[in-house]
Amino acid sequence: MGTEALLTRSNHLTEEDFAGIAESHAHELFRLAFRMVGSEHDAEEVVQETLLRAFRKRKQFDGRSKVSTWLYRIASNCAIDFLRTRKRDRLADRDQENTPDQVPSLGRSQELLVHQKELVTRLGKLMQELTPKDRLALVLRHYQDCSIEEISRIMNIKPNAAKQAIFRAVHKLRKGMTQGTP
Amino acid sequence: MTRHLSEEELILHFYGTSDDRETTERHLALCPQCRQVYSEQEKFMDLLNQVPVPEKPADYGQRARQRLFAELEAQAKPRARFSHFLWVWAGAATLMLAFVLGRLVERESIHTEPRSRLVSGRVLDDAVARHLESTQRMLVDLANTTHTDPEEQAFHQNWARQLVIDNRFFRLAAMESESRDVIRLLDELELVLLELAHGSHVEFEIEEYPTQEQVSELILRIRIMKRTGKLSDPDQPRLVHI
Repeated sequence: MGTEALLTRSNHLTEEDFAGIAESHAHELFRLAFRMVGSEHDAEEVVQETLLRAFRKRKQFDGRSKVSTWLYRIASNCAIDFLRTRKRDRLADRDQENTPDQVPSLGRSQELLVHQKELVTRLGKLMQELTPKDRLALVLRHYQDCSIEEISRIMNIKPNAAKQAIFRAVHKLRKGMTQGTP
Repeated sequence: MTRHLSEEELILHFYGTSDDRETTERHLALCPQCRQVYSEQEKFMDLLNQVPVPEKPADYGQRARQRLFAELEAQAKPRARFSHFLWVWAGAATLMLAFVLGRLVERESIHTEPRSRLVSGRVLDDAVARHLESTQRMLVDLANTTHTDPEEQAFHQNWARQLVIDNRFFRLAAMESESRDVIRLLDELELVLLELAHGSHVEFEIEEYPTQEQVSELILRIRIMKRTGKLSDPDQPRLVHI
């Protein structure tokens, strides 16, 4: 059932409605959280905190934005809070622990595959070095496919600032990759 | 367009957010150098797509929902304990009220102080008594609330904030009239009010109330009070902000 239908039935999201939303959005929230915090365990914590906060605020959701935009906004805050409190050395350790071994095959030679895997691993680490806001803008645009307007609503910034954050993120990543190439 | 496209323009073009898409496309069609740069950028974006995310099992959504409701249930229990402590505080506020009213009666019967000082002290005691009544009402109301409604939470927080302001005003007045008992009483009350008023976390307008840490801290302080007979060390400097 769509959000509009849920809100037509009652003026706010009920516990039952929210249970359905939590279930159907958990995967995408996890992906967003993981891209932000870089660790599976921490991402699960962020998802849990997001759902808790959203549940408490469910009566404030008026249906003017998409449920996903509303949830992303809360998840973004949770992830940024999480990053603020987490120690940097713990972050680096977890990055290594949680980078999955399997990288999608490119269908090239084995050597190229190894090289590609190294590049992807490096890129994943560089992403964690971006500022939380730049990373969030990039994650929302590149991976979650949010429009600039949605990003500006989620991050509470102007559309131009959202564009700038995306540009900065890509620029820094490319620069980081170039510097790392022998 | 006579100049080459900037990195920013190419990135925004890739994401379909450039200001002038047609001009950019036309330039790319005519300029092999920019086309080369854009092609490299596309490869990089493809690499970005390959940064992996662990796959969660199909029932992850269901498990997340179950975990959420289990957590909500678990949080409801400490809240019940928190309510219990609020009742304790409501009782304590009543005792404080009785104490202040007692002082009021005592002053009226056995005072030997100058009239102006008596009047100022009496006005203060009267005002403090009303302040305590109001605080007691808030604590009782809070103890009777489940706090699942953010509006109610915000309401109690605002109420507590207002009471902190009143509390500080009365403390200043008590300092002027050198009413040490009242000063001590208001100091202790302020700690509780601040706990309630500060149960907020604002970031992108997201609010939380009250945090588990704040509840735990309040419970811990009340436990200390029960053991030592006082809430905090009065000699210890405190930095508090509303």
